[in-house]
Amino acid sequence: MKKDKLKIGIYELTGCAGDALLILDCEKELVDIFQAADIQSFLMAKSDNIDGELDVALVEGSVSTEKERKEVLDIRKRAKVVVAIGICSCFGGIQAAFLKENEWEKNFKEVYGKIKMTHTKPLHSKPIDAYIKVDYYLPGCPIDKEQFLSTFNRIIRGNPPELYRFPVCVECKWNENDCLLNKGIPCLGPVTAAGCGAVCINHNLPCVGCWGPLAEANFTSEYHLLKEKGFTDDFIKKKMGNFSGTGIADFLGKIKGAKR
Amino acid sequence: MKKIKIDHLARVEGNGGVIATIDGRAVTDVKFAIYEGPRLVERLTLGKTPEEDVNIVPRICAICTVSHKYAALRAMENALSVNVPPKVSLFRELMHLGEMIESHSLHTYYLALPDYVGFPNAIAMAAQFSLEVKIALEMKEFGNHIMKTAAGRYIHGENPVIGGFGKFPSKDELLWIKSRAIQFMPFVLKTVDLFCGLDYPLVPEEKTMYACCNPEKNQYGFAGEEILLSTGEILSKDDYKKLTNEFVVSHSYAKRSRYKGKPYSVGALARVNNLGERLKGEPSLQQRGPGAGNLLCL
Repeated sequence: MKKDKLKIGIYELTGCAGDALLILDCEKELVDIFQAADIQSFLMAKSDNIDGELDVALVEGSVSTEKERKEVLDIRKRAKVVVAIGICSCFGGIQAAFLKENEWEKNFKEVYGKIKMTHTKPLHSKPIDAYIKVDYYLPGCPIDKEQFLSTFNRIIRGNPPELYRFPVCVECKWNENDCLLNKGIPCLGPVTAAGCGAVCINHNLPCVGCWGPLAEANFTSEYHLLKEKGFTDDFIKKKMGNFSGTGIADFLGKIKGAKR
Repeated sequence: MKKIKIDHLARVEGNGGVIATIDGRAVTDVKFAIYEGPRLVERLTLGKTPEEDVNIVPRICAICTVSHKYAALRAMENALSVNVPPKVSLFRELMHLGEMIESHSLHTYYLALPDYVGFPNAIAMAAQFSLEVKIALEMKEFGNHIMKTAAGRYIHGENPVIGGFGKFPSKDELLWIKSRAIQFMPFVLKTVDLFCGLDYPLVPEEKTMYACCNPEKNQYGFAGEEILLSTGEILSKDDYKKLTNEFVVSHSYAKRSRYKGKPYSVGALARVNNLGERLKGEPSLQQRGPGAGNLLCL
């Protein structure tokens, strides 16, 4: 029977390993996951890993070294479908906040000095789609259990995942929370991809934007709203950029009436 | 001269490898390399608000996200002279214990035990240890449940903030956690027996130096104003740079630190070695055996 199961590989590049851990955090479903699919490679969970042909590769983390660049190219060659899991893979994550190459180089030198790395060359941190074609994106920091399980379920049956195309604000309204922006608290719910269930606002705390920017969101409106509430241009842009990695670059340029 | 090279260490968090050089019967060099790329968190935290830094630093690591949050909150509150009431301290201890239960259930049963009993992973191990695998998964979920209740979610919960929490758990939630913890105690004690009965390879090595926080009032715990070393030395937290004097090596993106030129070890094993005598209750030091360090922290 085993040959009929989809061959799946779970890979971790640079990041916190939270998306791989979240898969192991599906405690009730873990045995079923291992039975439903043929997990060929999952370094965090098993030692008998095989790097062969795959039906689906789930890739966490950003590409931050030459070794990882080669690895992600190899994964693409071997896998029919590649899914980016987590914001590091989707947008580069926190480590991709230095958008310009020279800015990244300067900061790299501040941390590592002039040392020449002998094991693998460092690269300016980027999402995996900077190097390969990605079929599906599952954002989150980390990914959400329900969303992962529904995505996994659809993928192992050969169906495309159904991802949320609305912001955290929508989930927040479902939960009937009071709007924090109305109280003058800088919340990124209107511009951040949904899927977390508005967890921070449920705890009376503002959305920090950890699922990355939503493509359809109105950044101009959020920017001017925060300006009206008394926040500075610098503060707003930094806040929007904390978790968005390269995902924010497109939007910062599009904000009408903002300083360039 | 012979070299043993392991490119990918399996069943650990993150990407690492080991290269050992052996000359005859002597190991002459061991290089532990972290292949994971540079993240520059040291620089990402600059120019941000204290709240933003507390959001960012837990992203260093998912398994110990709460520890990073806890340490960052204590550091920020120290810098800003913010005092937290005892209720907040207790809830922080609770969220951190949740992490310990989750992390140690994961490490002992899922990451470590398969090696000792000869299986490639914990799910395959269920063929021989079905009950242990099942209950350990339940205990791991219990740890995650505590983190979700106190910190907001399993991984990278934002509920703990400078000065306190966004929202406190209800009394019912706390009572449920208490009753569930009592239910797990027999399994925890069985786990101690199981791990004490394993065959551990004898590794002749230099005496390890251990460093951990020194909790107040002679308590066993995770946080404190001082650092206690297995040499008997005590450092004030303000002297932390004597211990975290980071330097870079060319074969790893993880930085290194030495104390007086010597390596030291931190974490569960350090706590048990340095503070073990302070442990109370059933899983105390009488049952201690090699490798039981992680378990005793449960």
